[in-house]
Amino acid sequence: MEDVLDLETRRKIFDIISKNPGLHLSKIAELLQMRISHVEYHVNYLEKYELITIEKSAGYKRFYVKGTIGTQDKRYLSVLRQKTLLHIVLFLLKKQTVQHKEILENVAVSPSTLSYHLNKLVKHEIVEVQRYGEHKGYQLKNREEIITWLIQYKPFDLYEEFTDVWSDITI
Amino acid sequence: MKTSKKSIVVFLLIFALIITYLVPSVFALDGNGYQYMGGQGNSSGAQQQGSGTTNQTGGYGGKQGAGNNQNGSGQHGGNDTNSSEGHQYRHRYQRRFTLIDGAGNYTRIRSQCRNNATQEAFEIYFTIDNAPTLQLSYIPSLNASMGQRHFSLIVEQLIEYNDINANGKYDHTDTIVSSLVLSNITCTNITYTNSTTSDGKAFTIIETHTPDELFSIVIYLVSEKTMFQNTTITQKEIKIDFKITNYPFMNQTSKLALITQVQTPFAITPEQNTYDEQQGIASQESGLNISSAYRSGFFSWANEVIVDNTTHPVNVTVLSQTEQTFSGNNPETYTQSQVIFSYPRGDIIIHDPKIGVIELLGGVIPAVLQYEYLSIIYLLACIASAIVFYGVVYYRKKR
Amino acid sequence: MDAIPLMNISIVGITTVFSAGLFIISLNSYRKAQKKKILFVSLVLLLFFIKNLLLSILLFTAQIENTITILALELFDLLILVFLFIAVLTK
Repeated sequence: MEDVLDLETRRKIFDIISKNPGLHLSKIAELLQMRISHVEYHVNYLEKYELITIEKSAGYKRFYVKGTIGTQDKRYLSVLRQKTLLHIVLFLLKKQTVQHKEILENVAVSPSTLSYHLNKLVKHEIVEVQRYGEHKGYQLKNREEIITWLIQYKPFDLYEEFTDVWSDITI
Repeated sequence: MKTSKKSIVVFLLIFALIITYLVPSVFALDGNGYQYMGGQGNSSGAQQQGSGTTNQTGGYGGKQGAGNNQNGSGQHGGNDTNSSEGHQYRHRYQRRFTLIDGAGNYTRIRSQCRNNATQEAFEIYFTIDNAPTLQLSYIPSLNASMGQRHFSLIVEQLIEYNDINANGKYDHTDTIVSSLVLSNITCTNITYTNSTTSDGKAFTIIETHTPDELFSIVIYLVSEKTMFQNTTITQKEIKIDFKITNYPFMNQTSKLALITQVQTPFAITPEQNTYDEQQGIASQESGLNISSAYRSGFFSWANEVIVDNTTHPVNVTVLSQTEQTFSGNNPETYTQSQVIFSYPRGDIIIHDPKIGVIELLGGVIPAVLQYEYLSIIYLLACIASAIVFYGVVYYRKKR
Repeated sequence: MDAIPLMNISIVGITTVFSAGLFIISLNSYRKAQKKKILFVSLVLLLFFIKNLLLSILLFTAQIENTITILALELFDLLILVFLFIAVLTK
């Protein structure tokens, strides 16, 4: 492993993947200010030496450090890194079963886009559909799991960070 | 971990750089920590102790290098005006030096200040040929032959009066018992003395008095901001002591007043809060601000007078009028203000006025624009910091 | 013009804006978290902002040498520290 990571660039890529599992190629390139082709060369090398694994989802190849992440986590990560999908999931967390129109009121997307995202979530087994006669409702499939995952991989929230800072300062 | 350590190191480096830049600026601009080059000031051949001390009583003609020699600033021996000696202060922001020349009946104090790219020089000319007169002029450089007169202060007369309306000050309704008109008296030859304060700062004393020592004028000038006798004087002004000793009162209940006059082609504005007070180097002062479009000078005085070692308030009356004279075909206005200081009765009366110039923004932008300039800087700082603040938060959110 | 007044004005401008920004963040954090600790921290940052605002005004009016204004500024510092201490003590 040491030999593979001798090269500083490769080490940087590996670091960024371990800190941010589920990143795709262009995002890594953007963060490291590198050309995509360079990044691609190195990630292929890392995968070849089994340091990282590649998951394909939603049109992107996403990278994870080998052995650090379960399949479900990978699934959540790749999907829930996308802002709108996360927003929908967070809304669903507050409710039990919601209909399409209620989600539409709380998430700023067009109806067709919302349908598209919901279908994706269903496909990734994050959300399941409940039918009540003519009506269709959506709810989270594995609530506890998602909550655990969110706690572990929560996205940056300025106000929460601020609160955390002060919460730690105590006698 | 590595990245955060790097950030700390970078932050400390930047901080150290800022401190290294700021500290010399703070010292230099404060007027403290001046370093003197060129030795202790004898290089031009001017006298160390000033010829003032050797010529206490007799007059002397010709030019004198009596000013501020001990610290090597502003020497002037004969016609030697070696400019390299003039730059005695190492500080790169401000260079100033003073030249004094004079004889028994006049003194010319020239002061030049350089502030980065701009230069400001002024002259205070003191003469006892007629009534004691102090004239403030702006000059283009130390060696200029002529300057632009800014204002004159004439010490006209001392009067003993009966305060008929008992308002504590001399009015034209009060009756004059006796008076000492200074234009009718020949004061003694002006003497020059160099001295140092307890903390090593040089100052010069210029003095004259009536033959019977009833009325004395003592002028103090410094080459840098100096504190002594419980006051602070800057290099942009001179401190004057008016001293009245054992006035022969003819009446038991009469009081004393000193009548002075300020004459200028420009505007005179009385002010309760003087420039020095605003700078925090004086308190309990009032004065007149004499300003043209581009320059401001002042005549200020302490609100208190020392009479027989006790402090008393001074009552001051300022009477202004504008007159027009005709110079050729062009009418010229000039303003006169009569400033009357009414003192309590006593044997020894000492009062403390000052005349000087007010610092301007580069000498080009009128003083009135200072606030606008500061406001712009303030706004720019606020906008820049708002952008930085928002930018950092936004960037952090994105990452 | 002396550089010190310029530096004073710039730095005070920057601190005023930064303290305002931090106050807004703390206020929003309190609205989200509803924690007393954060409320006191918001108060601290508000006082800091007001103090800097006062300092800005004083610099413009050149009243900074006045002992009463210095007393006012010191009082602000005291209040800031008191509330900060309370914030630390609050659970």
